[in-house]
Amino acid sequence: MNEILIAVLILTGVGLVAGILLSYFSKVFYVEEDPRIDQVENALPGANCGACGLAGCRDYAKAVASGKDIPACPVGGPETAKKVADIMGSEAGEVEKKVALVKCAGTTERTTRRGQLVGIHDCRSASLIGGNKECRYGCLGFGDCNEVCPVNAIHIYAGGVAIVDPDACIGCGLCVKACPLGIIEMVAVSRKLHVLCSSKESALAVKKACQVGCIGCKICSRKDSGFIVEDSLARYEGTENSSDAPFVCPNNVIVDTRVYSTKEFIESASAMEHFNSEKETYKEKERQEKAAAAAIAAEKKKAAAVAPKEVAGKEKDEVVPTKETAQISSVKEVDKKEEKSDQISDSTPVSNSGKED
Amino acid sequence: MSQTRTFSGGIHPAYNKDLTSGFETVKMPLPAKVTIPVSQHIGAPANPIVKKGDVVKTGQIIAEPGGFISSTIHSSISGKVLTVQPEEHPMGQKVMAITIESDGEDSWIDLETVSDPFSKSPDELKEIIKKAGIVGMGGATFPSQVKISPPADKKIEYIILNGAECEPYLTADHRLMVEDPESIVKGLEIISHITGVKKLYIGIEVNKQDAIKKIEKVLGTNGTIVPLEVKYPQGAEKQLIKAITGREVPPKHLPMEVGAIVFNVATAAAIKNAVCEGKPLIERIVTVTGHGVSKPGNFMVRVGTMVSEVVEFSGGYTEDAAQLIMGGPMMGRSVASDSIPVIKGSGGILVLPEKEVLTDSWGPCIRCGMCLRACPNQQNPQLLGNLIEKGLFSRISEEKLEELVLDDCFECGSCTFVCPANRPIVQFFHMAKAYFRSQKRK
Repeated sequence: MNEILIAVLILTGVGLVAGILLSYFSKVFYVEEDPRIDQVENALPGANCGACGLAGCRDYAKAVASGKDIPACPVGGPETAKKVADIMGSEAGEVEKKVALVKCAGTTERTTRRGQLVGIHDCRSASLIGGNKECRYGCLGFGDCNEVCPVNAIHIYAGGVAIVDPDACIGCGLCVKACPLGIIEMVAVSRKLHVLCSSKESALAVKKACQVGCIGCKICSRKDSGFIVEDSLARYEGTENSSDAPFVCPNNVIVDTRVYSTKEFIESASAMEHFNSEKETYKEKERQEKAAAAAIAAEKKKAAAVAPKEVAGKEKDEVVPTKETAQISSVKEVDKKEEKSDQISDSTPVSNSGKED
Repeated sequence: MSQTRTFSGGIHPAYNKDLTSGFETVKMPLPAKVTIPVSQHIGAPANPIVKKGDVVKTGQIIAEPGGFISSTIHSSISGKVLTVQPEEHPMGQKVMAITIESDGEDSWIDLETVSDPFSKSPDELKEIIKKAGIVGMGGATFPSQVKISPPADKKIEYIILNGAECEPYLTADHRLMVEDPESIVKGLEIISHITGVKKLYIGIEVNKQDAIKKIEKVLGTNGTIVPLEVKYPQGAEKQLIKAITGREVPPKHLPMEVGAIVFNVATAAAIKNAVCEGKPLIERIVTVTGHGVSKPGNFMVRVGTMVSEVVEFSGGYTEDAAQLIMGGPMMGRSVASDSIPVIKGSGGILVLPEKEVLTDSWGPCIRCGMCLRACPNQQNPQLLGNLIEKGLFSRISEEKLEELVLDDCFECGSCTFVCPANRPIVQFFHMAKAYFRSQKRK
């Protein structure tokens, strides 16, 4: 009994002394730390992915608490941004969640292959020798992006093209850095139209290499001005998300993610069939519209032909002349310029030489 | 003849040189079309100065150097410029290239011949070499005018000509030494005149006795021929210096650090042609070899000729031809297509039949240490290779990398050759180097 008592007493004594010392020193050596750091850190997703450019969430929280002007956490999206803003007592900026997109739809059967890769099977290595596809911008499909993805959101299916699952993607952007070809892009989730091609080669080279390559024909940009064609490659930057745009593309490069997921669009044969039939319907409709428009135009032409000639003559007079004719007319009119000056505007001079003659 | 000299490390691959070494070099007929890349050398690409539709003569400058370490590019035939656009390059990427359609006449520009090159000042000669677009023809393609102008604080004691040709299969340099020793020796004398160096050496592996005899006869007492042991990579710059002078080039430094400059024998001949005959570098000897071509041989080929045409000229592919390699089997690059041009650095076109191509998968490192013994640089391929395989290289700091001297590896492939697990060790290095280069660019 005695031994037990002694042990308990000793331990209690040590505990008391240690406790007093600890509480004393914790007061003396207290490090002032912004309490908001912890709060901000708790509000963050906690994936420690490094997408913000800092070493993990704690670092980011410190940076935010110290009042640095850094972009909002790309993974957390607007909710996190709002929470962080509430803690910091500031206004949350506009944050839109972004997800990764592999801009290539060139599956094995749709592309021309070159050579057979022996040795190290990864994208970085394959890109050194120009890849195994004729197209230098085609997804190599060895999965360097998949390897770095912290949430396993990238998969390579039978087609041999990396496809990002937009629901699983947290938008950290690590795959963008990992891709040696630079064909992965972060796109806002509100964007529904995507050009699934990265090839900046000429139309001829693209045609030779791939059935589903962007040839830079600019037909899409006529349909929806949000499409921008540069270096013989289209990209979508608009907000209109015109649902007709995918149908006008001659090579089926544009995907409308409201109708098909990227995975379906690239991998699924039935989805492609559905798309093609939709496209056919659209084309048919367009043809009919065109025919109708042509019929109306023909009608109008007829009407114009039978219309009295004076009307036609008047119309002719109002036609804006080219620069040269304008100059000629202005030379001819040089004498009477003062009288007529109010009629001749600087920007679009109206010719009335017919009347002069 | 003194005893043979060599370096430590190295390997003994099957040489297979007798496929081509016995046959005289054949001049290939003019190609109908040439595609000349503006980047055929180490350093900045040249800037094209011709445009579509221009008429050019053989030897006319079509691209000017794009920087200090760069080179001039000339038209290798006379005719009309068809296109100036990126084309497939032997190195795998697409590079700006000038395509010229031949008019079949091969009319040259007016050549400025110099009967006595030793009457010219070194600076004049350097200018001629620069204008002629001479680059190292052993494969590294370092612009010669840069190599020949060492900084003033580096005292150069040795000029070494590299006639080792240690790369298996290739015999282009061997044939050149046998057929035109005069040009090589004259070129060496010109280099000696420019640099003022009097200790001249020519290193030749002892398996080329006929070449040693021919050069000896022409060289006389002007220089020394050093017979070298037959071992790969005997012709590598630093290994050659070690064998001949006994000096070791420190890691991360150029040979001039130990007072030596090394030129390939073909470069010396090209310098002679440029200086004495005014001819720019527009053609070179290419060994077309391997059991995948019908009639292997050495051919004098104009720069820009398509590889497919050269192979066609040497009898075409055999039925079981499987792999096309630009260069030799050790340091050459496997290419996916034969519609690529022959460039200044292409010493060989090797076609391997199916049974000689290695397609085995590779296994984990068993730490046997054979690669350490084979490495001519005394590096540690095993450790480096494993680090890179595990993807750790992206986490190695810059300083750590310098400690590991990955930069010093010249990718001779000896480690890969001896590896019993078939590990693509040199390919790992190649990949990691490219990765660090791209990081540096960022």
